[in-house]
Amino acid sequence: MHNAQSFIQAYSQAPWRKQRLYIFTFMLILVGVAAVAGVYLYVTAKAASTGRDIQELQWTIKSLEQKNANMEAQVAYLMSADIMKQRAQILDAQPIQPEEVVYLAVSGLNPRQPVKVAVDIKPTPLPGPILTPEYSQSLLDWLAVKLKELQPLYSLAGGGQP
Amino acid sequence: MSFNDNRYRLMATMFVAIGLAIVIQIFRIQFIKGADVIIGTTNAYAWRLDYLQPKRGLIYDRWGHLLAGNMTLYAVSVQMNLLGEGDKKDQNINKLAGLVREVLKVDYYQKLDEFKKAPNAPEEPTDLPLADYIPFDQAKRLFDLAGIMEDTDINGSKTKGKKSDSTDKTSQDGQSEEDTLENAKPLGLVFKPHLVRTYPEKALASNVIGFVSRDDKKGHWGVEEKFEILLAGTPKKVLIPRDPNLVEKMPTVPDGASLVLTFDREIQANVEASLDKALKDSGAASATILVMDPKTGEILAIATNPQVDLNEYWRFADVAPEDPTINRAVDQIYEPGSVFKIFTMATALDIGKVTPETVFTDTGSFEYAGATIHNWNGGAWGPQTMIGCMQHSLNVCLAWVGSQIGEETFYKYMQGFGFGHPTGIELAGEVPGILRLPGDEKWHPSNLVTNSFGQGVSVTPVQFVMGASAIANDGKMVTPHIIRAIIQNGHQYEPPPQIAGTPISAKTAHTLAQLLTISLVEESSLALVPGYTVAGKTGTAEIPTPYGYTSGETNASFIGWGPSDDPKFMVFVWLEKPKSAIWGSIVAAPVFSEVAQKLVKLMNIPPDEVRLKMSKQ
Repeated sequence: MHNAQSFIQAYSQAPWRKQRLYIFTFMLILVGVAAVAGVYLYVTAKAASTGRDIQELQWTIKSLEQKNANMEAQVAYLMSADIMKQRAQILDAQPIQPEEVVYLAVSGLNPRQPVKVAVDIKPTPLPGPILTPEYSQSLLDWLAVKLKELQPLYSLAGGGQP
Repeated sequence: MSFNDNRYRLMATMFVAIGLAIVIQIFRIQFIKGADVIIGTTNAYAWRLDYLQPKRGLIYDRWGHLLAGNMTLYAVSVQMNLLGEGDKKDQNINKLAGLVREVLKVDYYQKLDEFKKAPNAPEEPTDLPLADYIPFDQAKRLFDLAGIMEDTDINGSKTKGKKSDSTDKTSQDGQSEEDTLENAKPLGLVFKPHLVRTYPEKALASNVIGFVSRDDKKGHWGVEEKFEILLAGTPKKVLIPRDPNLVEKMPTVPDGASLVLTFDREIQANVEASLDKALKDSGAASATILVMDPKTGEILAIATNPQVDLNEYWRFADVAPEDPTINRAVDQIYEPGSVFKIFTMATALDIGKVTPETVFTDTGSFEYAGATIHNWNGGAWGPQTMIGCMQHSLNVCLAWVGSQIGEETFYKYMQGFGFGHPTGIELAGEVPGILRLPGDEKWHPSNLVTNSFGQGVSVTPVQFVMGASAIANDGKMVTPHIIRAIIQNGHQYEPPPQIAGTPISAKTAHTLAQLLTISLVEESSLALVPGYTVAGKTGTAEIPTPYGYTSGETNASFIGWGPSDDPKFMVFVWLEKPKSAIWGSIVAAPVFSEVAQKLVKLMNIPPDEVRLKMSKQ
């Protein structure tokens, strides 16, 4: 019995045990800090990378807008009055003479309307939050929500208030 | 103390010392001399100052044909650090100089000298601008040749093991040719694309659309000048973050507003063809034809000379070396002559001084306030109804009508028709015309009778059609306008037609329109349109000189509209100094007829017989 107590005492007072305790504590803090730093780094890197992607997309949009404008101008050149007249001549089309025109009365026919270049865009409401609350609320927020959910229960337990 | 313990302590001390040194340095660099420079430099790299130029708004005709758009041209420069060092650099510069001389017609060494001579220029440029506004085909040729030359040594043999960057990118990455041009830099050549104003219809309606100058980047003439602020948008000088975490702070500028004109491209092209023919046939110094919807005031076409391809606007001085007039329809005044008589007659009918059947005996002259008025042929036409007076365009008769109206009423009506004031049409450079009123320094009592037949009063064509719209449109005078819609931020705004006033009653308008229809038919006018009734009036006005009406040259004009009972178009023709004949009835009336015959087809207006049959069904 005495031997056993001596062994326990010696074990508990062993210097390497204290050192190991310190090392474990230090390592625990280190791992904790590293974990937080790792998460922080990951999130920051992800945000930076996404930001970079957005920047590139913005440049792509600008470049595409420029190309669209260019193409619109090219199409307009190909369909300009002068070019269309030349094409009609190549196809041997002749201007219509007044006596060749036949007029028909078509009931309900609307005359040609001038162009609508823009369709009036009205703001469209979003269908709802895309992210569930778990992705945005903090632990305290979550706790507050849970407590609020429990509130009806403990008010009933108190027998109700007038 | 063991040897190991000392070692541990030494290491621990070292780590602590290094850690402390780092912390101290972190704090120290915040306060050392020049810290502000470091912070400034860091900020300078973190943000980029840029000038965001919105995309200039487009201009369309009423059916959506693009009249003014934007297309990509290239600014070409050399990035000097890509040319290499020493002998390699000299070799590349030699290649480059020959290449840009051949393709761009630019002297590299001259450009370098110009760069160095500029104030505050560095000794060696990092980026040397060579040329701007280079079209894609030319830029691509330069790019391809530079790619080939980059791989070739000075003796013309292929450099071993090295391939052209440009050809690689095109074939391997599957990029578009434009992308390749922007990304690869053969021989240090940089191709920077930018949007430039372009006019697909070239010279069509050039006097009305205007152009954007490459010098000041602003709109000049016509719609481009009048709507400069709206079309150009609001450029912004902004700081753009390089930090991707600040991407949400990336500023944007909305594009400039686009415009839809009331113009009809097909009508414009046809009217311009008639204008060219009229100029050729009559030998006139200039011509102007204006087409308007008299019910809404929408201008369907304005054709005038001289015209210029707007993509090469700088050639205007070659086209019109002595004539700075841009758009005669709004910026040139002239004495209209007999065509103005419709307003005198409208006034007299409206106040009840005459009716179409009122008879006036023309003795060949009429004296008033010291002035003696004669007819255009100097003859006496005897008893004439008001229809006859208008049909034969008798100055004596209309001078008498003017005297019957009286000064106060006459000028009140003329102001009511809008003379002496700009119409407010959305075109740059509109002038108000000249209508001298009693009490003005240069007004004389005899002006009443001379003004009555269109002498001594100056108008613009657009003013004239505005006034005449009251006669064609039940007494309601419309404001001529050229903007059908404005498109901004995805919304299309359509300003409604505006009634500028009601100078005469509907009854007067109907009576006068009928009178002008009958007078054209009885005169067997060259303005008549087969199958359609049209109303109109010719005008021949002598051009005044500093010594009076002595030049023998005239302004020939015609105002007309049709169909008379339900007008869909109003056409004004003005020929300046015609040579084949001086009379409006001979040179201007046939032009009206030709234009009207084209209009009825282009606007799908059936002949009267068909139209009336349809309306009865």
